[in-house]
Amino acid sequence: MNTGILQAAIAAWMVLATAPCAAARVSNDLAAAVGEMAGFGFGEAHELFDHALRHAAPGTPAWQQAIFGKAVCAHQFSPSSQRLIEEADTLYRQLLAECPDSPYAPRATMHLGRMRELGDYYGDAPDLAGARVLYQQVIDRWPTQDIAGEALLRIAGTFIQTYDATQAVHGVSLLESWLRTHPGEPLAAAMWQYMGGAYLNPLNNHARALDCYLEADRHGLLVLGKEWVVYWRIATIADHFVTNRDVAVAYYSRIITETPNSGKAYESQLALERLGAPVPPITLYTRGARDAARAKETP
Amino acid sequence: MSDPGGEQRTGWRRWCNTSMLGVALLVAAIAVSLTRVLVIRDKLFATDKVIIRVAHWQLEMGFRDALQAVIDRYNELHAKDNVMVVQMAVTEKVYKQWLNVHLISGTAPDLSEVGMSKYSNDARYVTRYYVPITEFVSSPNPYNKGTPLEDVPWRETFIDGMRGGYRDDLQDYFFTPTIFGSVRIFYNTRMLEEATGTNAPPRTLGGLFNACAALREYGRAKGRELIPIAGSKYSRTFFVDKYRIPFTAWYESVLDADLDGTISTLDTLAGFLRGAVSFNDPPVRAWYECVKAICDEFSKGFMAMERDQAAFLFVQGKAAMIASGSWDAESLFRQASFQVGVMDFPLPGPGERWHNEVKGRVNEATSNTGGGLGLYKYSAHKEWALDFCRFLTSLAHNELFSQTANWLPVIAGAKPTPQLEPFMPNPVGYSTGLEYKDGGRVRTFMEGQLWRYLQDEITYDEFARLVMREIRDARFGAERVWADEYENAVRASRETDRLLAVQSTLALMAPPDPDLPGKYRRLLLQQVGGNNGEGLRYRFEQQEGRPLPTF
Repeated sequence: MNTGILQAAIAAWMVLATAPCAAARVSNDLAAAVGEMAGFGFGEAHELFDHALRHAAPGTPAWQQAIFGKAVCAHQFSPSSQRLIEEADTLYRQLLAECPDSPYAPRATMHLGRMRELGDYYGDAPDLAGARVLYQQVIDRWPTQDIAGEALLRIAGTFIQTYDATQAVHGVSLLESWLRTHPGEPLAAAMWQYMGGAYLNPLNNHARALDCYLEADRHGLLVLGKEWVVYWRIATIADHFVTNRDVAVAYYSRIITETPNSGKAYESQLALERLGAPVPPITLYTRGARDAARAKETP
Repeated sequence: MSDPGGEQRTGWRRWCNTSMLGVALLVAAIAVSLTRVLVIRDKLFATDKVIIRVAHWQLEMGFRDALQAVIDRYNELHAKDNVMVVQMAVTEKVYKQWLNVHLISGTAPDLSEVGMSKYSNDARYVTRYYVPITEFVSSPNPYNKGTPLEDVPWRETFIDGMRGGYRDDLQDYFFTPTIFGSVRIFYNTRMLEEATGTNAPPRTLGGLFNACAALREYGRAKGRELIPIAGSKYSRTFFVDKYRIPFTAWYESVLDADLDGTISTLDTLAGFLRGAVSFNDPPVRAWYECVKAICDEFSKGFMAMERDQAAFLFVQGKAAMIASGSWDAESLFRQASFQVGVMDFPLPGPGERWHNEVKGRVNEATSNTGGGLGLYKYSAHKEWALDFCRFLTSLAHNELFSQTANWLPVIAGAKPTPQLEPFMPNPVGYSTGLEYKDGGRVRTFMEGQLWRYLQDEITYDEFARLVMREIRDARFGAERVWADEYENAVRASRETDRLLAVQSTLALMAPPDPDLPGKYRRLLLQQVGGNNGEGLRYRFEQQEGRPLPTF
């Protein structure tokens, strides 16, 4: 037998014999890296993703996961440095260039946008226009994925955060038109609530702010434990700025009955008294017992 | 070796000398220490049992006994499961360092009281070392079976809806609250009765001052100096805080720019800068003058007194009243040889001085539960540790705990002892007023000048002039606070981006978590709504007509 053939056979056998071990090692590294990342151990996760990246075959799902994970770790490591940010940028771009249809590609594009919008050090100037371009790429390339709505919210944010009235109007109009064309948008509540804030400040349009907050509430507020802030805004805008007594009464009442630990229940009682509406009692420190009683009453 | 007579000692007597006594004492001390270490090791690290260690720093009287009473019941109930809960009370002087070291080294207790140490407080370390309990808090607490709370979600059984265990920045419930407190004035009922003719506490601020005058007179008649109120560094802020909102709640309609129902420090300082609020406004002046008048009833040099010294004056009958929290109630009740009464901070009554400057009482509806127990991520027995948290906060056992410790309960419907009932928070009243807590150097300066004013070192007008000068100071005043606040908001936005990045990565790489999409959306809105801090810059530029300075 030719020595060359024998050597090739041995090499092939070694590769085939060790491949499952290498795959298992990569898989173990990836699992450990995800665990580290869940605990914000970006440094440890970076090493593990890097190890997996070096042993995974390019283009495979494991390789895509490793390169994306490594990029996220470099991007989010604190304290940040120019080298890490450049590394993250390169890795995200490498993933997008080599596997444009990777499941990690939309989020990698979003992260490239985030790098432009947010600075790591005080005084870093944001590149809002650059961020917008990348967010728009997310919408254009993955229009049916949930991440498209998030990208639109980010684009609107780049306009609204300038606090320039013209740009803020443009930002809210983008959101309004998106919501018209995407009735099932998972981030609808967030978009309505965000618009409410923008209409309040800098646009100073209380009537539209009220509409937006009411719409946000209809979709289910995204402020666990602090719903009262939105209720209070709705009630006081309706009470003092646009004179919508029914809305004011409804929300002052909800503050008393649903969010009594807001600290605003007593003032809501005074407002209801002034508006000539029924005044619910504050039952804050018996709430558990009250809920229990209600649960027992309900068949 | 020889006796004093010069005779040589022999046999066992040659060992009887002072040097050997020292050696013997040393050996005994080592033996005692070793025994103690072995006993503790056996107790805390026994390998044949499931040991759940609970660490806390609450060394106030009654707390450890109460916790032990609940632990004993739990251990009895689960003896057949070979489970044993052990408490580790660590003084607050070293708790912070002690917990940090154990968290890092992987040897932390299964449950530890959080909040004091950086690694149990900072968001990034909390997620690294503690397990979120969000998935458990929406189900009823099984230990509430057969009680009115049987079907109520665990979270809703807490009097604050478990808000004290929730981390806004992480959008998760992380801790099981165990403590709830409020601040009141304790008084010596016998002394009050002998001085004023009634043991009923004063119902108005004017009544309080009358009682103070009567107490001084009573002391003089007895030939000794009686201090009406035992003040100290510790208790001074209780009075400043308790009267802040009653006098300054008026400003909410003027200063709450974003209609969130709260006057922030920045709202307050911005108000001073633009003249919407002034130290010469009758309510502001009245607030400080009122606190000053109360401090005049304190012991001389109260600023140099510690919490314990003031409590000592009270329990010895040298002072008639003291302000403190419900956490000190048991200590005061036990140590005083007289009956201790408890009253709320009285407001000026109709016709009394400052009555017209008060808008109304401050409410205690926003009081949060505390003393959160965090579940260590590397605990070997997480299920049992969580089970103990449920047991400790069940209706029956929280009542046992709070009644034994004489602390307020954290579970709705659990009854405090009758002595503690006056501490139950009152939800009636206003919730916001002028605020300085995030005022950086302005706050530090203001507090320094306030204590000088309260101790008669400067007049109110001088205090107001100095503080306004500081607020207007170009380098360290309100502008600096504003710029710092902006910088904090920018940094917070970047930190939130880290959380979002982790969550979005986990959504792609980790097993599905049904809570994750909701958490992500809430965090996303929190961050987008903050506009990377630009709202703060905008407000400054709108108000001042110039760019926000950098420092």
